[in-house]
Amino acid sequence: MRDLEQPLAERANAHTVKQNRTVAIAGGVLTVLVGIVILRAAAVQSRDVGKITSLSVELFGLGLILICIGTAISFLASKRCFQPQSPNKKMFNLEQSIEEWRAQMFAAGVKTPVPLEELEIHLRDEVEQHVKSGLAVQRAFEISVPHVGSPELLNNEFKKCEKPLMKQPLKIGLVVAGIFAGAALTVPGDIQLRDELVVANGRLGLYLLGWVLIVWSLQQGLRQAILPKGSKVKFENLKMTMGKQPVKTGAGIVVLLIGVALMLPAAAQVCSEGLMRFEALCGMVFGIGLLWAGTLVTFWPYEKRKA
Amino acid sequence: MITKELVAASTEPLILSLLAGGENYGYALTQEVKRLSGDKISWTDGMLYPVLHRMEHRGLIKSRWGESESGRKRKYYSLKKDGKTAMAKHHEQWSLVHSVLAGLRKGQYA
Repeated sequence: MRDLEQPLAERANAHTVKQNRTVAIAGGVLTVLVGIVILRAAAVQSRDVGKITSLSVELFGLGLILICIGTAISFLASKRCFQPQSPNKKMFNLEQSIEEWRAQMFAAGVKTPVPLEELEIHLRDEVEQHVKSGLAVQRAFEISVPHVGSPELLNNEFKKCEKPLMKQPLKIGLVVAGIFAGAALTVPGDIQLRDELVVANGRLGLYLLGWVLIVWSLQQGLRQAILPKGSKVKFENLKMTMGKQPVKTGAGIVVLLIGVALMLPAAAQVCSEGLMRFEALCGMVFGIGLLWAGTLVTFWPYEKRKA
Repeated sequence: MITKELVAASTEPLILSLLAGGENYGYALTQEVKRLSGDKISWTDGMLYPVLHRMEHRGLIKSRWGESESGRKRKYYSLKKDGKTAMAKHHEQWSLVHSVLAGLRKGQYA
């Protein structure tokens, strides 16, 4: 049975790398497209005003940067840095592998030193036992890691040991109250937006604060809805290769950058005119969404679901 | 193999009973359970630690950091007074379940 685990893990690994490469190429192309759209916006703005303004220069620069980043990501994704690593090409290093395992645990949320240290000692004991019984260190490590358990599952179990700060109904109540409060704060801005197609003066601050509150409350609500179910999902550990984590982080950063890029025109409008027009506001809201999604992708721990 | 549910339910009484024989550390506890059950009770090794921590929070066991003969740092767990009481309760309850099952089995095969 265990002999079958290795090829299966390798196949899953290769499949994941292929998926990651596709995602990275798509992310790169998307970044280039956004860059082109921003360049076009800069050109349209210059044409409408009749001269090159500082805003159009900024937009032009941003568009070029995004095109460069997108091209670089697409190029790198199609090259060797996203190839799956062959285990035979590299000498196995137990200490480095344990470091990587610790990083995975840390990323999953097992952050307090005591459980992590205990788990590491357990892992070392298990590896030592397998080595004594005649296995190679690398094979002993590969067998021992799943025995210790998946980071997500362990983190969920350790969380149960902590005393909850607030009871579930209170948390849900706060999330609902946050959404309503946020919606209430956006009402004056909504009315102005409907009547004048702009949000200006004191209403702009309230409008943005309202949206921040809504997004934050939704995020908290989603965490409440998703995390308790996390313990029921089975995960398996996959050793992190050089290709996987950078692809995920890179894609997250690209999404973050796009989010920032979409928010810039609105920010520039607020700085220069003290108001925000409808188009810029749409970009701002979409940009906040992307910023949020990008942060999630960048910092979400890498795990492969069990098939 | 024993079902997951039964393994989960028996973890605490097994840990308490093992610690009744003297202080011990996590890896040794898992090995001891494997040996005593003839590999039929299989814990996901890492899952033992959250259980140990919960039991420590509840005041059933206590822990201390020490060193093994090889110099490796280890966390040793031992029973507290409340743990002994809990263990006695577990034994009583499991014995009751066992005797009911045994009686039913006898009746079926008689």
